[in-house]
Amino acid sequence: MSRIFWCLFFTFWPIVAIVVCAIAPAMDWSFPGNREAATPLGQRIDDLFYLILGIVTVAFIGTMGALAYVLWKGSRNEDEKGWFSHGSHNLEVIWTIVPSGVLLFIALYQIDVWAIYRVRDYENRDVDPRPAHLVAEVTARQFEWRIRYPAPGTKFKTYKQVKDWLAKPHAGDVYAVNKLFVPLNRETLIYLKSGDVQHAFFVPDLRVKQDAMPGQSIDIWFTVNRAGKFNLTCAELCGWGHYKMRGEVEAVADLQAELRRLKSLQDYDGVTPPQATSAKASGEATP
Amino acid sequence: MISRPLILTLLALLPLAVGCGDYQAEFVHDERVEELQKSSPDAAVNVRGILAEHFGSPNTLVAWGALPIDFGEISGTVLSSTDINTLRIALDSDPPGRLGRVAVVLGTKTPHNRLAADYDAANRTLRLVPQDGAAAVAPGTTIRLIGHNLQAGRRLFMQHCMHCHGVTGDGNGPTARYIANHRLNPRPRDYRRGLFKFTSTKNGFYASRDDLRRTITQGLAGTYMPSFLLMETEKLDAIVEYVRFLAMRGEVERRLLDHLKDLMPTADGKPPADLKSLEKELAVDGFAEAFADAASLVAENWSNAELPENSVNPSQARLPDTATSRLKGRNLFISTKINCAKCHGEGGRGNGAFLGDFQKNPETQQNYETPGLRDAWHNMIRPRNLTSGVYRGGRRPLDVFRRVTAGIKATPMAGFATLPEEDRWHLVNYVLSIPIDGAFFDEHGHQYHGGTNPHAGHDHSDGHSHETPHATDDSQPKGSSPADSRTTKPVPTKSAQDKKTQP
Repeated sequence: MSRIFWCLFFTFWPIVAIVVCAIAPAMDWSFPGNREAATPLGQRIDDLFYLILGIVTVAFIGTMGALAYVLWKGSRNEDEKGWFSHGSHNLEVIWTIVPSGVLLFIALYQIDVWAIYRVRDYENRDVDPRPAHLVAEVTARQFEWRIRYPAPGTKFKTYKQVKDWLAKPHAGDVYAVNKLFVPLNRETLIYLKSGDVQHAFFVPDLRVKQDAMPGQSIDIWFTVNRAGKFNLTCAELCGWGHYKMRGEVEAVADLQAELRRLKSLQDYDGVTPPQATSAKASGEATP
Repeated sequence: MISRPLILTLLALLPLAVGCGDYQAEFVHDERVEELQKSSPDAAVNVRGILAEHFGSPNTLVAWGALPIDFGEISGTVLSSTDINTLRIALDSDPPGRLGRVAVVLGTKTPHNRLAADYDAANRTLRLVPQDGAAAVAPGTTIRLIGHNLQAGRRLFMQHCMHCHGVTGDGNGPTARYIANHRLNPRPRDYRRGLFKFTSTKNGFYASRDDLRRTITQGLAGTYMPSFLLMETEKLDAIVEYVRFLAMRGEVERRLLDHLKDLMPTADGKPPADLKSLEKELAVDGFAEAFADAASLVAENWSNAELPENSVNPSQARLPDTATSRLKGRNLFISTKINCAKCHGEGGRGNGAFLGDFQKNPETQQNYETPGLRDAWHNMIRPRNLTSGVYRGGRRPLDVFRRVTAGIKATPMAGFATLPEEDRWHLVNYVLSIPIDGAFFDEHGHQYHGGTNPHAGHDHSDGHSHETPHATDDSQPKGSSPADSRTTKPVPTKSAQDKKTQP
């Protein structure tokens, strides 16, 4: 009786785990917002996750099936004595080589995505496209995101120009806080700084997460391919107000128009009305 | 006998019960109440009592109608009453979110006040806190629920603001000391003087609701006051009302204690000589009147801040941001007429000569022990470094204009409302140009970055140069290319003086 109970017990839980995984997407237990990544690279990162999930599922079902089979078989067999396998050279070799092979495969397969995330997307082009796509400098502070855009219409050609811009304020810069506008379907370069301690710029929907280090300007490179607003959070415990670092990234078709609107709010002198703006949007700029 | 596993399980679950106590936050009294306690305990009791009666405690707030606060009011009718403490009601509008322990006013002619325990919106059932001598409520009685806005403000304040600004709004919350010890940052604001630094109102006036709202949404750049930009409008409004409530409570208390100052212990720690007669005069006979006077003065001050005629608004648009205008601003900046440079320094770095002077404490009329500028809370503060490009009160020309006109309240930064408006705009143009183009002008009226000689010490290794002070390259609109704007940086000539530097 008790043997059969334990057979069923150890068979039941793997089945529960598989059922839970299978219904997860339908139950909103999936990726943040239960949506596809809003960046092409994010979709590839998701694909890697699914690949690993597939490998793990096969291994899980295989080992659990084998366990259930062995338990069941053994519980029926009253006569035969168990086989003591400790120290079996062949078995040791097999369970070292098979997982190593799987891990090596994953390691090689994911290199591409990592390379795109950090370097390759611009390295092999004739002209480095990145300076031309500079969108903003984001400074994480306890406990807010201070944002600075170059003057609307600014075109950067070289890294030197970008570095000069990052080094000090320039005429026409547009300032904002906690709400970052990025262009839709265009490559976006953001420089991340920290005003005090370590923070992390995390936009789950974009699958973008980058630590902000004091004293460094760290580049973040992505393309948003879905219009909309995405939550921006701090993913590095940065102090007692960590939870307050609630921000928003919005992908808009016409970034320049948005910047001109923010700029006109920032240039408000109390007399000349700013450019036509929706009542809700006012007050976003000019911290 | 209890089994060991059971004991172990209970012990393991014990940490979960930590923090389950019924913690009641309380308003802290001004420290002078403790002083008063030593010489005249009766007067101290009176102070505590009258404040509790009119303002309540954080968990049972009092919506006192004499204060210009939007407590949040919903009216309706009683449909039926199940018993003395349970009513079915129809409200004119749904309460936003939780109702909280609001005041319930029943009837109009002889209103009957009760306290709400909770409200079940689905069944429209209001439960009241049991009260001695409460009468049954007839169907059809009008009902007013007062205070949901203040309750919501309190909840949000406790979540987001209290840890710095304190339960009482005294700027003494549990995390305040981490900021106060930080030499770069101002202390969290103590609301109890009714003083807020960054306002849109004229000198001598309080902060308007819009000013507080702006500070909360935008934060104060360069300080530890963060931005709450994404907070919903109604939550924001609730916090603003609660901050005003705390400010009014604190200031009424301060003014009441000012009224009782003769009862305080004398310098040698003894009660004043004629304590009994003074007590009767100040803490008994004239007490209620003094309290009412303090409250009405505070209420009037806060109401006045909302009036449009008390806000600073320029009558003419910003003057074009030209080199000429900036130079005029510069000349005003260093003039003895308004003495900006005495604090902000010739180079705008916030290192002016006044910083070495001893300031007088306005309360004791004695000099402070260390030199340096002080705010109304006696905290050491520094004049803004205008080269940093960080503007705590906002970077819009309007904001800087208001700073120049009304000053920064509660600080030595004075307002210059008497200065002609053009001159104030010249100053604004100059101040806004400092982080970008430097604070200094050379003999030709050209702005340049610090140092004594404008044409020495510049790094021209980038192949560009601007050693020609009369460069006439104004075909390149400024801001179109930051890198270019850096190398052909404003070297405005006489012919290019009208070139706008802001695209």
